[in-house]
Amino acid sequence: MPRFQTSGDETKRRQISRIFAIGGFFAVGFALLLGRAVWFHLADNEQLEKVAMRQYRTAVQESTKRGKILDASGREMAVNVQAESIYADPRYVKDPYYAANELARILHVPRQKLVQRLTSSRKFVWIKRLVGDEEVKTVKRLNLPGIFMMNENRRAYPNGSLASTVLGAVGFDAEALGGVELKYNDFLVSTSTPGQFKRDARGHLYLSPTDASDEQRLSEITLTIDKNLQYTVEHELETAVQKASAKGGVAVVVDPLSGEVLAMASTPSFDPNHYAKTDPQLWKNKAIADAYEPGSTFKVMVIAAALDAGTVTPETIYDCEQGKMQVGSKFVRDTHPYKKISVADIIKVSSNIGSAKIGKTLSEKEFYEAMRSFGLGSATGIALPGESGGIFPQPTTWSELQRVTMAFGQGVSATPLQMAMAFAAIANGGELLRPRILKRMITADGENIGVPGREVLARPIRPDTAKLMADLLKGVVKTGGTGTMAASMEYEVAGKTGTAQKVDPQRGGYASGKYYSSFIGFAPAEVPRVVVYVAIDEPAGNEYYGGQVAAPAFRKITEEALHSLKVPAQGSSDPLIAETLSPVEDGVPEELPITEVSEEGRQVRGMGNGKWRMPDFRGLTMRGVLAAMGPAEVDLQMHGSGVAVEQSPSPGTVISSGASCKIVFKPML
Amino acid sequence: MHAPDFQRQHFDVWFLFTAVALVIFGTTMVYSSSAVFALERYGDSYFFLKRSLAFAAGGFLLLSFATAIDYHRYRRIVYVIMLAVAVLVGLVFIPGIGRSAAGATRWLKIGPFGFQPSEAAKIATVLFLAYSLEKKAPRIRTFAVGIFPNMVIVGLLSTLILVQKDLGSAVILMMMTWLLLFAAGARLRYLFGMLAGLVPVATILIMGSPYRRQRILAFLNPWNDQYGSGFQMIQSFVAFNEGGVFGRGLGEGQQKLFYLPEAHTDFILSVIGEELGLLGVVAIAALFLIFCYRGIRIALDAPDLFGRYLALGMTLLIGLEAMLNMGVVMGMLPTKGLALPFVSYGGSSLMMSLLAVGVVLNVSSYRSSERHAE
Repeated sequence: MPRFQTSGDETKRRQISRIFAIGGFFAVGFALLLGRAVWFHLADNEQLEKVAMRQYRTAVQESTKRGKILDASGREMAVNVQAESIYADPRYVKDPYYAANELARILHVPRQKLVQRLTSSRKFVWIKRLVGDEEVKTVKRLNLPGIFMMNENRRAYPNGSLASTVLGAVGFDAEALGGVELKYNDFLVSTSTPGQFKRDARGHLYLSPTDASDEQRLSEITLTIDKNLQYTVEHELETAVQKASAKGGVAVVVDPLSGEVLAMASTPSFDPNHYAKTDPQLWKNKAIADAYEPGSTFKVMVIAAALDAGTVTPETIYDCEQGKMQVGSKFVRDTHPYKKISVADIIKVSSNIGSAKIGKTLSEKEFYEAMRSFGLGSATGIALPGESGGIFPQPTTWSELQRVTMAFGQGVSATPLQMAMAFAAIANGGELLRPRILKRMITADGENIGVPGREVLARPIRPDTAKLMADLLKGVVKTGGTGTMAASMEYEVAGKTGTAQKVDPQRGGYASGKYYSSFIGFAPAEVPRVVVYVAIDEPAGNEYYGGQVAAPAFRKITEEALHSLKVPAQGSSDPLIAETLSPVEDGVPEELPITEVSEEGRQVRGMGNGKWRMPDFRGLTMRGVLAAMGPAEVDLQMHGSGVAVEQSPSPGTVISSGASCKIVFKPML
Repeated sequence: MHAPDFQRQHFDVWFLFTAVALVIFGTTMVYSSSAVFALERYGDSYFFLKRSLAFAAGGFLLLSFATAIDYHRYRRIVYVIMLAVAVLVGLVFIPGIGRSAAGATRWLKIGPFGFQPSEAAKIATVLFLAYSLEKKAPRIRTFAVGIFPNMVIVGLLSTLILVQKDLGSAVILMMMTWLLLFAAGARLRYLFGMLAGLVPVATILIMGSPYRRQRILAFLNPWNDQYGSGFQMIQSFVAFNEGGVFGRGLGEGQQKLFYLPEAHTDFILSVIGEELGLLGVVAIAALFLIFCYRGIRIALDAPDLFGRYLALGMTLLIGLEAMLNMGVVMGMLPTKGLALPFVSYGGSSLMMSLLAVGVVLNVSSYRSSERHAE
């Protein structure tokens, strides 16, 4: 067969080249595999993240028990209780329909849901988590095959919704969902004897190899919050919100001398024992997470700065131009027309025009630096998660109008806590303090690890200016002032009203008829022991001025706070003050006060300086947020993963380039 | 070729080193990925580790024997071995001796252990082909003599294995045979003709078996049935994705906690990806690449065709299986049920792979004397 006869050399060559080809085949194959492996790491696979997140949510390392959270007097705010959870292994369930019927009846779980779970091909399904003792007994008596119980630890909040936005909550799988629980999660879960559980795909808990079964000791966090005062604050705030048919409200009580936060409330709030039933929006601590345009309360800082700089005295007279002053093509208005009045009266009747003129006595740089040293534009650094720093733009970005409107609190934004701390600086003689929420932290080993003490962040005004300002603020609650309803029969009060129009997040500009009405003040005016902030969000009744809706709650909270601090009542120094006296209305401009919000397009163009309005990110994924952010040059801080549930600044707020923007994500379930 | 044509030299140290490194790597990962599962199933988290160590010990014993035995002596017993292996594979069908697991019957009961005859069949096939192709070398370019008899024998054995639902082993056998014929110099038109003829056969085989059809569908779009047929694939992806470049740390993986089925056997690479990250996967791939490179070098340097085909065939067995396994685990190929050689848990596979390494090491210890005389 000559056709098949080949020479030895040719065969040899062919063999060698073909074996080389096989080598090449391997090289290409492994190169492809390596490429694929690299791709896994380079590609940001959202879908996979989601699967992982969903699984690991049930696989978080759990400490069996979390440390306690106590109030300032050692009363329990967050503890642990044990409860049984019921689950099933559908493979062993003999009659899923019967079982579903019975379980649905006892546990009040939809029958359809149970049928679906019990007939599934999975090996583990939850029936109900953390069930009450009676229900567990009833289920046990039924002796259903394939239905099992598991002991789980549950976080319990004995006071229900009390201080919930401060405390946060803990999910079924021991994941902290906010507040102190989240901020100090690591500390709270670190027990002296780690009994770390992981959860496998079947949902069984198993002890990881480093287990130990000794009795656990718990760590402890003591807050500066006073449980009783917190209760009063929440109660009064709720009452005020209901009375004003408002959307919500915020209240903060601070000790101006130490910087300790004695109470902090947002309403509506939620019950952390049943957090899952409430909208995650309500988990937010509005006292620190949301920045609002402060409105007239801001005049206090402006006038204090002018007094401190010596550009005005309380007696300096300004022409309030009969309630209408032209700035460029726009007008700044007062609710009531005034002609020539003193600085003392400007604050008392809350004249926008007067404040604007006082603000003008400071140079842009002086104005900016004074406000910054009152803490505007930077987060207070309180030991709670999700704090916003508000917005206080650089002078280079100010428009002519903004320069004017800022003097009465428009075109800037601040959180309730920032405002409270700025007032505290006036109350305590000129020191801006870092607010404190922690009193003590004790580890599971009984070691007292220090918490930050009193910290002075800045000295915005001199002690004598502070004293002078406090005197002026006493006038606000006196006859003829805007805050008469804040006046107490027991203690002398100093404070300021604020009624800010809210920014419309959709249209930009101010939303008509939507107000954020507040009263901030301190008492006793001579030796202040508490600073109280009360704000009512979107009062919908006939009364909407801060002096009408927030001032009464302020008075009650202030009195209660001073009682709890055992400050003796002084009796009113001004017998003319009576609750029935109606306050002078706050200086709310009737026309849209044109700040950069309403004229955004013009400003961006005019100044060539980037400004953006925060869109509503909630519900978006990280990618979605990045896409929505577009070209805006902001410092995006994204925390967690999943979908956005929290953002600061809040939607509709205007931010300038370089501003930081924080977005918190939670796994979607 | 006769004894005087070649002389002894030291065996290929690199080839041995890569195998040893992979076995050490594998044993560690088997423990990491199986500890929790073993604790739940057997009440002993070291269950699989202990057995793995025993298999490795047995495997290295076989390796040292094979290294010491002159490979030329296999020529005389090729048919005996082939017959014995065929009988073993057949025994699986006899009830009471064969053992099933996961819907497939492919094990023989030997005390507390199960033995997978298909693993031995792969080694035997290489021996047989090496012998046969050397013998038929002058007529390798014919179809009737060079290709047909070999294909018939390998085909019969593959069919037996296929019936045991061990598609992976059958595929490896066929691929290895095809590549050996290719290396031996068979005509390309016959080789590719065969390939073309196999397409309809493969289609019928896959679409005719519901579980294979499902695997193909799951491969094409795992997200369609995320909790059903696509579950394993997606869990594997999640593991790689979670691992990142440096991994979560040895023992820190979550996917092996029952999310990832067969974490310590076929999908051990996912656990490596999660715990040791991209670096771990690159290390594994690099070791196999060195292994294949050395194997091919040994084949090229072998003093005779029998040695060349033996070395190439054994290298192909292990290299192909590693490639296919990695491809499956990373979602580039449909699931087949293949182990990652040396690394995955599995006694038969580990011991037979080490035996194969021993045989190749012995081949590497001879060199052609004429070549060096030149």
